[in-house]
Amino acid sequence: MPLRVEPLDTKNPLEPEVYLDTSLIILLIGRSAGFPDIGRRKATLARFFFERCAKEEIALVISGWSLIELRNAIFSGMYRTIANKEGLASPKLAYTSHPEYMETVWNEITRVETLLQQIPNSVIIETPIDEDMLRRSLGFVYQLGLEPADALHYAIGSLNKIGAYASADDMWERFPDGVLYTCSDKILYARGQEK
Amino acid sequence: MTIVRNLSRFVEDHLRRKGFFRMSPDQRRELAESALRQLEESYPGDPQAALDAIESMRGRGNAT
Repeated sequence: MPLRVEPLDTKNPLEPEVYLDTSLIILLIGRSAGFPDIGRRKATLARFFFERCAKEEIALVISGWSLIELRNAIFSGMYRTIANKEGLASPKLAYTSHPEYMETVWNEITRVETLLQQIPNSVIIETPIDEDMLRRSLGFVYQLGLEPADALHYAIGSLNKIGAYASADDMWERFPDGVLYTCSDKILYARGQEK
Repeated sequence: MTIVRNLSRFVEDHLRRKGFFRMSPDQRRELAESALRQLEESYPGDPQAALDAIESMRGRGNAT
């Protein structure tokens, strides 16, 4: 079956297990901090999706690879704030100037990971990213034209027979099968909700 | 609401280990709502920069 794409607020029944993309976690944790423009609508849709999954007891599968992306994203977001305050060009430069802030960043990473674990319907899987997994991912890079990081998500999801994905990323619409719940730009445009 | 379950074995095992099936539906909902509320209430960083960082890791965008 080819990939079926549905909005995050689909009226259809959800699949019982959904592989959760890091982008949705960031949309959720950043909701109160605020997003510009279309980001706010996406964050609201993400919150709605998390609530629905909790209510309907849909298993939210979070991979170790997603957690690596999450750590990098939290790091970049927090050091971007420092960089903006001090007129520095990048989070990396802010890190070089303020390595001591890393303790605060790490505390935030730990807080978010602990709370993700506390969601009763979350399932954190540590599928090893070993040689076999990398070969499998590389196959998807060539066969499907996926970027390596996306191919790794698809490889982990398909290996574990997760039939559905949830993401804010347009590129996940290149996945060849399953169901994709999304708040991608494409699906929002289709609703006439342009920026 | 009636929930129809069709979980794969490994997902079910994970949920069992974390006590999901021992909780009442109300407990699950309360815990989930509490965790979601706490997740979204105090991120001190720039969320858009965090999203850009993910794009960058995936070979898109130009986050630095």
